Amino acid sequence: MFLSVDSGYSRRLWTLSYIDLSLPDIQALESHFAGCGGPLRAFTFIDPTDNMLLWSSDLSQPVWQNPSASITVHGGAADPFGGLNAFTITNNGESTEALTQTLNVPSNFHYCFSIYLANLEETSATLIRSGSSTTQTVSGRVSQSWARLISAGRLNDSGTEFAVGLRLSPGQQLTAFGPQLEAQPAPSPYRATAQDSGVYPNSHWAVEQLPIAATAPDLFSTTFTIETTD
Amino acid sequence: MATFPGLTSGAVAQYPMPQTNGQAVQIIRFLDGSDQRYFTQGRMFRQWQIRLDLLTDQELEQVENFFAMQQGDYTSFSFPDPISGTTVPNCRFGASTLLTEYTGIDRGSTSFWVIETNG
Repeated sequence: MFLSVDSGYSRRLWTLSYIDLSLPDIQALESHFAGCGGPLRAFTFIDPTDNMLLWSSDLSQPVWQNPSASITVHGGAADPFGGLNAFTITNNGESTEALTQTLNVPSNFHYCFSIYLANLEETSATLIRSGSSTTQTVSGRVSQSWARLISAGRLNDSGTEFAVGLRLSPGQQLTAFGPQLEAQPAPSPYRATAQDSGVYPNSHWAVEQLPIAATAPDLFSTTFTIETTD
Repeated sequence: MATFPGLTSGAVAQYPMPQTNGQAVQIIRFLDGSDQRYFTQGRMFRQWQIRLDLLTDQELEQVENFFAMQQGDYTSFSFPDPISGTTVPNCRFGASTLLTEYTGIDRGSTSFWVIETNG
């Protein structure tokens, strides 16, 4: 990945190389390239090496939504890596509430949401993955020891929004650190984000020609560049 | 319109076969990072790089004769795209010269581009 920054805006370039792709894989890339008119029209690019969530380092930011406002978030708690960057999340309401973040990305990609959780008393925690019309939840045990809970899968939902978060029962309190969303089956090491995340809605193909090499029967390779501007 | 000749095996290309597909776009970038984009070409065109090795003298001569018949990159021909399985009309050689190498008896090689055009 190459990054160039100009005054007032930043421009990032990704060079992506693929080998041993099948014909349907290469046709999907060709179809997307043709649909965009090459570099003409913008699309949303999800950086495969980054955390898709905004403000994963600060759960008190407004991007983390709790419509009923009954959930309080306090920072400065001990985190699993020896710092004080975890957050204590408390549901002060009388009904089950959720702290979520919504992204403008397809609902039906394969996503993996992960978060480190701990609690003084053993309890259970519920992770949410929601599309425009479908929701999946995963519950796991939480104890004094930090554990990374994972919710991964693909929703049968053709929507263009996707939300992830934490559901808390009335009065429940959890200590949380490092929420991460990735468009892949399993989590990779945590990457903290602030006002920038790995989702780039103004991305373009940076090549006028999509190069493809047929290397063997039903095996193809390609290398191309994608650019994003803030 | 003439059709690109196949080898004795019937194939028109060997692995690996690079190809490209694209459409020219003009991009005007402004100081604030925004840009204006527009097509400078009517539609997408494909290009194929044909690398042929271990050709017999007869196969190599056939390619040379076809290149001469098309007068280099002057005349268009139909190209049977081995990937899509379709015959693409209005193709031309990508250069006005063709390099063929005779490295041994019945062991020739050549490499050239075939490009799709408007006709």
